[in-house]
Amino acid sequence: MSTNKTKTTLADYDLVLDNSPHIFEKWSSQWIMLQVIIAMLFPLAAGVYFFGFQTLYLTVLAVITCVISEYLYEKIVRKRVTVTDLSAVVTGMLIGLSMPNGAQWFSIIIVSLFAIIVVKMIPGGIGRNRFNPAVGGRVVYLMAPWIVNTFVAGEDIITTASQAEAITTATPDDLVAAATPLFYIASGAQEVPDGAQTLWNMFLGNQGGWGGSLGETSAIALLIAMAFLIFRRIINPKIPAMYIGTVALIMLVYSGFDFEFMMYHILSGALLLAGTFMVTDYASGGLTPLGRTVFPIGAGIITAAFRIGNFSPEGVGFSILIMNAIIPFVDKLVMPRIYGHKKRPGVHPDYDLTEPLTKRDVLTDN
Amino acid sequence: MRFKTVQKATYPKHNKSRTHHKAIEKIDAPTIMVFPMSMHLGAPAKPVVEVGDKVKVGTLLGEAQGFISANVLSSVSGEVISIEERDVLSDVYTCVIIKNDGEYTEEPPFPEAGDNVDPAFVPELIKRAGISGMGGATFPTNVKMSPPKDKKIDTLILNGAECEPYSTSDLRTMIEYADEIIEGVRVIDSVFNVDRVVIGIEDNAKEAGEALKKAAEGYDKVEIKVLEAKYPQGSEKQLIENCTGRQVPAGGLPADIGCVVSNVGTFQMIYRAVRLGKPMVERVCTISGTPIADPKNLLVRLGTPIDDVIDFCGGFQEAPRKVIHGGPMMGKTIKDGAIPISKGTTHVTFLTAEEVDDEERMDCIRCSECINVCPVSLQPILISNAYERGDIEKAAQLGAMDCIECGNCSYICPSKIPLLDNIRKAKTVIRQNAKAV
Repeated sequence: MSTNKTKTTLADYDLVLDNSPHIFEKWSSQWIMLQVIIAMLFPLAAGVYFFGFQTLYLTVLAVITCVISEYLYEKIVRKRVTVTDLSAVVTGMLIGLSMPNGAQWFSIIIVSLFAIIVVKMIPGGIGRNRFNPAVGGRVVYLMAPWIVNTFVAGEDIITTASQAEAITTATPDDLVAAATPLFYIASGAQEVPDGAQTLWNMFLGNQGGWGGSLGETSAIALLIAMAFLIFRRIINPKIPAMYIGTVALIMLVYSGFDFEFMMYHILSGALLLAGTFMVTDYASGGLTPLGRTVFPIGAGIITAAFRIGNFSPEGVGFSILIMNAIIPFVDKLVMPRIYGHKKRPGVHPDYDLTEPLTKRDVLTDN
Repeated sequence: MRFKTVQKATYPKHNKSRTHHKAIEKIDAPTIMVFPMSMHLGAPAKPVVEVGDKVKVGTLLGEAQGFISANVLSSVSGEVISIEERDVLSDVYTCVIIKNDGEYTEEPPFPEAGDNVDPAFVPELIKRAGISGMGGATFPTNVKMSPPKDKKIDTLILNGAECEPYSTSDLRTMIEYADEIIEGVRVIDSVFNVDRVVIGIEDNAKEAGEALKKAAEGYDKVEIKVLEAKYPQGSEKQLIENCTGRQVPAGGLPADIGCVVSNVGTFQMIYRAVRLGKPMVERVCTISGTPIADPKNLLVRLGTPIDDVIDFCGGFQEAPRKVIHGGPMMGKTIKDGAIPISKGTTHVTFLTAEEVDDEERMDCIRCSECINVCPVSLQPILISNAYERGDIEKAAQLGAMDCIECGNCSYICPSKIPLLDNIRKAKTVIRQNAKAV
């Protein structure tokens, strides 16, 4: 029998009462963003190696613009400041990596402002943006010459300095991909033309200073980044696998099983960059398990269609934006079947996450 | 290495190594014992003793009230010194307080008990012994063992999947009382004459599987199913699915799909009640966590206040910040050391301030991890959002009532959104609305 008075008692300790669960996975949204940032250092380093320090300069400029614009926007509309979650840094780096060699500093700033303010913050900030901010910015950049030609007759404000003259008469969408290996094969070709880069050079990223986006030049750097994110359990490997696999399969069939042609499509353009950092984006991707299958396959089909149909060799950005727009509706149709139920839940309730929370700001501030 | 995919489970650190290999130790009961009239799920029992009454080990203190309820019996001999209302695990219950005389004089065993009990009488003996499920949910076992006559029970499942971190009480029970558990299985098999007996254990409890296999030698119906150690492997619905491939229909019971599931320890108690005529007066309970100097697996008499077991485990080596009745995933926090070890106390977990640090809530980044880890395939963030918007109807449509409150969603959320808290609140409102109609 335990008796004496020096006995331990819970009354002597400062204890808290709380609801379960009492333990949590040791990670945070900030940590996730940090892993993505680390992964982006690989293609960034490759960009610096092949294109020089202007890659770093442009990327840092994009990051600074993104972070400052998010901070100022939140200050102006009196929202909780969220720049510490690092998501603006991720957007900035991705913009830097998506920009062509020779992009102008003011282009970077305009694209970054558009991505953060219009695509991300106005719909409600992180997690509420239906479209991927960096991809939105990239596509606006691609559309710029067309906008300028239409509304400001003749004058190209945003140009891709080095290759611009060669293609001013071509479709504006070609701008970024101009003179890249993809450009060689994308014009409806069903085989790899003579004079194109070797697969090995494309794999390494040595494209002879032919242009292309700063971050998409080296396939190996992107594959390392992808492996890193998979290993860190940030991205589900099925998403890049299905996206790239879909494009590869379509290209293989289209070319009559020309393996080299398929490899050109995998290694060229923004396919690997998108497969690693864009299709896998949480906020603008699918939410349900099935939605997350539909998204990469759909994006893959649209990318291939853009390339084959020669609407634009740069179909990647468009395919992602199109899927961004479609996926909330897909998610509603493919909600997981709840344990013990025969049907999927509800009658497609409108559960859109972009819908603002009435009490949101109150809740996050307490 | 686990890839990020639809897991329907989480993998919290087991934290079982400090007690995994420690044999069960018997702890003496203290002088003052506390018997809440509700150590089980369902209606509280009604006290049938008065202050001043002399009681023995096995004396009925509280009688089961209504269909889902359980008897409360004394675990010591002595005198009733008080009957009072006390706060026990977030509710107020009548408690019978007994002064232990240290003699442990026992009531005679149930006269009907023995080797040839009529199967139809088994539930009555279980009821008399005051047995309720020992896995934590404490559903009265006699009710579970008397399903509606039209339900044919073909599979008996023993829940040895101890998925809560820190807990090793089931593990030790399986290792040290394997024979009694298998005898309990034979008792229940005589009631249902099942086709199959499945004992589900996790792959971190292989010794338990071996002990049970040895005990069940020649008993061909028994099959040991080694399952992946993940949370919530030991949840009834998930265990049934993982052992039989069947899903309990929404709003239904395991009996609807021919299954009866109970914790391994419950079968030991069934054996003792039906074959030996002994009531449920003690249980195995793990006392663990960083603050505890010498964590142990204890055989504790029910009604022993938690304060009294801490000393036996060497006191605290570090100040506790949270004391949890049960495990860190589903347990309830307590402040009052007078709360006793009861029928559902699988373990008591102590956490330090460092281990309970609450991080600031951030905005949802739509990583969809809560959806990936939900064992019943809900979309927790959407239910939580619907609740925060005040849209209870949508929360219900999205299946809030199907939530088993395992805590996986809140556990995994990188933005530290209190998903389960919101779902619980939504459930409360939905229940209130249903009553109001």
